[in-house]
Amino acid sequence: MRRLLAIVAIIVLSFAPAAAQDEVNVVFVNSDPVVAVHSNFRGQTVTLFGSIEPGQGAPEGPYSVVVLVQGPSSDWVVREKGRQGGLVLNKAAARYAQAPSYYAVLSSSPLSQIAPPEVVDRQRLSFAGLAALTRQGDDLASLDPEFVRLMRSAGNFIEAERGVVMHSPTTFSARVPIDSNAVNGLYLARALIIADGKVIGETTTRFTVRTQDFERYVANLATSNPPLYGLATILLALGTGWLGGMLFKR
Amino acid sequence: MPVSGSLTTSRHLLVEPFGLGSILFAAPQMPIYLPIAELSVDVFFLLGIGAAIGFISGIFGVGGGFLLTPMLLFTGVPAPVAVASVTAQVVASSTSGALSYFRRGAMDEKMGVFLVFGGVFGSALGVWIFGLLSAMGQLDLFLSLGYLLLLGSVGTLMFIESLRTLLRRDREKPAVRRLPGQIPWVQRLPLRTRFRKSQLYISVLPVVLIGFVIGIVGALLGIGGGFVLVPALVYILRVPGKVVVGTSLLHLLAVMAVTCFLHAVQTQSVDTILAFCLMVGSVAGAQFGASAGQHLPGERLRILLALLILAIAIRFALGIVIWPEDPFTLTKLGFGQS
Repeated sequence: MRRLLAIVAIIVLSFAPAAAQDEVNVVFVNSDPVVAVHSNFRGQTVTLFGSIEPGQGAPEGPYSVVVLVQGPSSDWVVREKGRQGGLVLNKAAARYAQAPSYYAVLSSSPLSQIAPPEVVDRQRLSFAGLAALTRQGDDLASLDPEFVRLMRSAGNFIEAERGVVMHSPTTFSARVPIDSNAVNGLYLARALIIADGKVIGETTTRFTVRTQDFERYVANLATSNPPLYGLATILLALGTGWLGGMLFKR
Repeated sequence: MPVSGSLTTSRHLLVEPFGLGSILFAAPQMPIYLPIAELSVDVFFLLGIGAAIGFISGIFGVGGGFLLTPMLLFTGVPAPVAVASVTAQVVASSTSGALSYFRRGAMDEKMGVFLVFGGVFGSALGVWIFGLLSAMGQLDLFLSLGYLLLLGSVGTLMFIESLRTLLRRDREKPAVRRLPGQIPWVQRLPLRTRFRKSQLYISVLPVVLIGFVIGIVGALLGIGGGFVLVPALVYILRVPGKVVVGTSLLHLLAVMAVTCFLHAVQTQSVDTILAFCLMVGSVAGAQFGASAGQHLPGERLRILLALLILAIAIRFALGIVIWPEDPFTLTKLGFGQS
């Protein structure tokens, strides 16, 4: 793995010049470019490895690392129930457009200790900021905390204060939990190197989540070709009913 | 809105006995992922409720959709998925019955065609309203009210009827119910045609209208509607007993197939894997129910069915008046939803 890291580091260094504001180079690779999730498993962990390479005049350590992983986006609605005429019914509804279906903030120490609020805001490290950003319409801001709470309990928003492990002052790894009902698509992981409350290096890597089982194939067919899916379901029902009648015929 | 302590306590007491969710999520033995419902459930649980409801429908000769959809709703399957998937289950459970009535000639195909004609339009309207309610976020409330009304009235009528039969049984023979002649307003309608197998010469309008109404209700609530259709055919149209069940099954089969297709295309909430587990369970359960029904005192069991239906109606009533534990819900919008 170390040799692999070294090779990747050379390739990245020779082809990708670091961004102007970066004071350190970061190499960031992942264990599985394509994550295959099987529904009968509880989920899977993608491990991302990184190496920090301080350049000339880079701030001395210790370095802190924040890894932000973002999955495909969806539209969401949060509804609040209210009572009207004795009945409980949905009243207020706030829509969150193109909010990520997966958003994990992993850090090497508690975020509040390593990043000042302006860094958290600028780098979109807070769920509340994400909620405010994606909410359609300015009213109903009161539903933002509920959106964050529900997304967290659904396992869509993940925050791990010790999700990034520093193996040495300049190498780190992050374990990204991918749930078995994760949305298929491209996941973008961004590593931020922070020293003295400032972002001094940044890089990204990506991986693809693909569920390769029958259930997901069914789900894809349901949205990609609804008429065929509907017909197949009806034929399945007719076949099952007919076969059942035949099998149990006296 | 503040919640008083006593209300919270009573809620637990009242709701927990029906809390199927605890069975569902307690360490599945063989979890299966339902891709449209986005839930992992125990496959034996699904086969089990399919079999139990198939057994009940086999004993009483009812479709079972009106029991199955509520069960799925109580277990936490999202309302659109529960309703749309049960339509496929109803197709499966009515296939073998419809075939056997057809072979015996106990089916009025001509009347079936007119019923289905109305039913298809009703189903299309029902699926459209369904999408509208879903977008408004009031689908759950609508389903609760709809089921409360339907199951409440059917359960009460059935309870009174079977109680009366049970009491009468000891003293005298059950009175043979004699249906009077045709209903005058049905007779006066235009477009009359001859339904040979039903030995009727009536207008096609009430036939199409009945099919239409059952189609709407079926698409909205996820039921075949046989337990409403059979009485309607008997009491309004005077369809004779020997063809009424077969004709009703033909309507259920065709209209539910169309409804399933429309739900698959329009709301995209048919979960084939969920439906398949339910079908397998219910098709097997129905066969055992049908043979068990011949040896069981049907009239006495009917009162139990009535009580079960009333219990489900009460559960729906509680759901719409009791303040929920979490008043906030999160929904992911699917394709084409707004």
